Amino acid sequence: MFRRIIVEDWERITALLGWFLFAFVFISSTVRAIRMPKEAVRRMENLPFERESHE
Amino acid sequence: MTPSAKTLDTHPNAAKIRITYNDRVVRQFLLATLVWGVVGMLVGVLLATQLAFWQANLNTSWLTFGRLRPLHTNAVIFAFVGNMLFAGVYYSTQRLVKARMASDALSAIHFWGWQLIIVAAAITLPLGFSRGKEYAELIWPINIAVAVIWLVFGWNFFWTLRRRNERTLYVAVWFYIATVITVTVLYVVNHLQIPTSLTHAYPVFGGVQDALVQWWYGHNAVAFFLTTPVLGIMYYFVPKAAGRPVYSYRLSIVHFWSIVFLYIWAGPHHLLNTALPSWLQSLGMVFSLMLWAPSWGGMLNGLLTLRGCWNRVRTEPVLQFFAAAITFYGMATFEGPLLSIKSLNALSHYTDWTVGHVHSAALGWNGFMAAGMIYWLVPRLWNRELYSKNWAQMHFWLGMVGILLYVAAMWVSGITQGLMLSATKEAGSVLAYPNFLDAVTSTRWLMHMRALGGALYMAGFILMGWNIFKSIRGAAPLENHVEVVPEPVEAASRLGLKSGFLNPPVLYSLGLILCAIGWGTLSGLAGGLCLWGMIAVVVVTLIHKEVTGTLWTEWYDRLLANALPFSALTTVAMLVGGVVQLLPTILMDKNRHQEGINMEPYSALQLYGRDLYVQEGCYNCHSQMIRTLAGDVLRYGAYSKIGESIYDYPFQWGSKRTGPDLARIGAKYPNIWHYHHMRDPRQISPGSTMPAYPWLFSKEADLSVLPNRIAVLRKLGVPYPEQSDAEILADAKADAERIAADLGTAGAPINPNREIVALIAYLQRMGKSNARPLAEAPTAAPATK
Repeated sequence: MFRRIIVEDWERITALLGWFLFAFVFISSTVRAIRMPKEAVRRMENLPFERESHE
Repeated sequence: MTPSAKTLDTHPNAAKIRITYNDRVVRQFLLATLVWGVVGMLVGVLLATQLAFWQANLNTSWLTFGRLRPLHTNAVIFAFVGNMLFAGVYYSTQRLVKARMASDALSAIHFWGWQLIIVAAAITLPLGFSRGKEYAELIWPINIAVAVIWLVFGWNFFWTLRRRNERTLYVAVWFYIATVITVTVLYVVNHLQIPTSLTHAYPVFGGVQDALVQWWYGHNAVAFFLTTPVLGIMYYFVPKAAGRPVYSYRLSIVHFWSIVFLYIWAGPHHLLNTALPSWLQSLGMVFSLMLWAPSWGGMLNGLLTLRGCWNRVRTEPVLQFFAAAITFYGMATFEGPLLSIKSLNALSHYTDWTVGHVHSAALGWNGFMAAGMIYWLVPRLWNRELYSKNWAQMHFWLGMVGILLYVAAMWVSGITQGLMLSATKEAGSVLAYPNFLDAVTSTRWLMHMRALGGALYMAGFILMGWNIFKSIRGAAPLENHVEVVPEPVEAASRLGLKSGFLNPPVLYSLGLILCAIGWGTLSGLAGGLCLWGMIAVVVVTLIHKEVTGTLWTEWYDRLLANALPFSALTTVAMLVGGVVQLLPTILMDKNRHQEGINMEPYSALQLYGRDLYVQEGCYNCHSQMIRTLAGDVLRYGAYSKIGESIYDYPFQWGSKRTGPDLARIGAKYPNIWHYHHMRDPRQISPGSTMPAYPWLFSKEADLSVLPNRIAVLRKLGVPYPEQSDAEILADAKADAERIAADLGTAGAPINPNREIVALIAYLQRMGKSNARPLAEAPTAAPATK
């Protein structure tokens, strides 16, 4: 009764493209974040703590 | 080089430079946040009051719900949160990259230009100049001003990054980069239009295409205007206020890339169960559900940054606001994906539940982050302690109680509306509450509660304004400076666009992704070849890496130190989702039948009436989309097909039903019914909260605009027949005279050139599409009752 027409079959590829792309980015950014050297992490996370004239 | 940056130490190995930050622009944006915050909330409280007492519109055209609601949303999003995020971005970026903003002039142009735009919006929207698209209502001359001022901001921002004295880019700056780029693309695409006059234009997309583009924009306005810059602000200001680094910098990296890649796909969840093709609905739902992970990762990262200082949260208002704001971020980003589940959305969509969800995020996440940031910044920008910590705490509790009252009212109201409007009896064949007004009247007490909650929140915000005023009165603005050893990006680690993308890691990754897609989508020999292609790419990658002995992670490290390729990668991330989602529907042939419908264009008078419908903001309370749900079909008629709105510029599917759906209102009632209903809705529908529209009965319709408007629509592909201007006007007048004569016969004589006549012409056309079902058209299953 409430059948909704899907326009074209080829458009299904887009969902797969999205999946593969996101999976790739997620996995690679996670791996890279985990393997980030400790010194680099420490340096980056302390960037907001530059002392200013009023501090 | 700005004059304030001068070398202090000439020793070659320890040359320090002194940087005086441009905090003037931060102060300006901060004060503008307070002013526009009050304006946006005041309009919101007035609107909430109108839902309880319709008389609160004072029977004037410019205070009606339809015209004021766009002012409320635009004021809160672009004026309140906009000014807040600019203050935060200007303050934190300068410190994170150890450089003054590149141009004081551009900063000033940005500030004053943005305020002028807000003033223009505050004037034009109540006057009824609207594009009829949510959060994108401003007319085209203002759109151009927004684009120019945004580019000024972007130019100044990237110029500052280029002149930075810090080699790497902190994660907050990544979020700002994503904001600048994505908002530019979203805004431009959703505001593509062809003007018909100085105050009117038609969007280049219509119907389902417009719906898709609009919610790609609308959802990502939430994502990249209300979320990513505020996340950047969170990653800078929360560690500063807590006095300790972010809980996990590694998690913030995953948070960033996941948010940027995922958010852009989720827009179709605003169109679930509608005429949107189902593959897009599935795409929107699945990607929305995936957003749970990065959103909660970010929330936990923010909250855990407060580890070890929770005792201070009890006494320090700044930390109180930040902790509550991040908690609201978590709650809102839990609720968002939940509401994107198709079956739950069937209940929640078009009801107050969505309104409550949006307000828990806007008031809790954005509003409280703004408050925390402002309380933290004021002593540092004016060198004065906060006038009263007690007032700040009172603000917190007023705001908190206000949000809870508001959101609780909207949950109860939304679920009640959803259940009542979809309830059936007699084995699902009859509506349990056939009168739409039953849902309106039974939730009216909740509208009082909603107004009270909003008023309490606003009272807290005004208290903050007064506290800030008392704090800074007579104070001399502080010129903050810092002495740093510059760490410019070394030549060896510079990465251009070409070397940023044409390198082994990127090319091998691309090959792997393409082969994976081929393997997933192709069958037979081609699919098999793609599988072997994947294996081959992996093997070649390993051999290449072994032979050359290079560390490809260096590429990523260099990317983070080079704003240009980093920005380009972020753009690609955002564009892929947008293009994949939009292109197939945009390429659709509008003139071909869609689901068995091949539309006839609106007549000239109907078109004029439709433009009035858009101008009055009727879409703020009425949808034009009967979903594929039993409750909708039983109440309003056969579900809406794509083809029925294909020539609607702009589409008017709506997002909230304060009143009933109008997709098939045409010919349901006689002309005289609409005449009386528009003049006094309560005469026809006792208990209705709809405003009366007396000005439509006295204002003359300016039909002379029609030939030009039809010419523009013809350019956009609407198949209007070739007609001279005189013929178009004669047709419109003939239609008007016919309707006026009918009204006269029914006892309501009226001049045919009044606007109400044109509006009735449009209302009577809705759902009566003059569609020409084609023999070869695929047959949509008939809706049954």
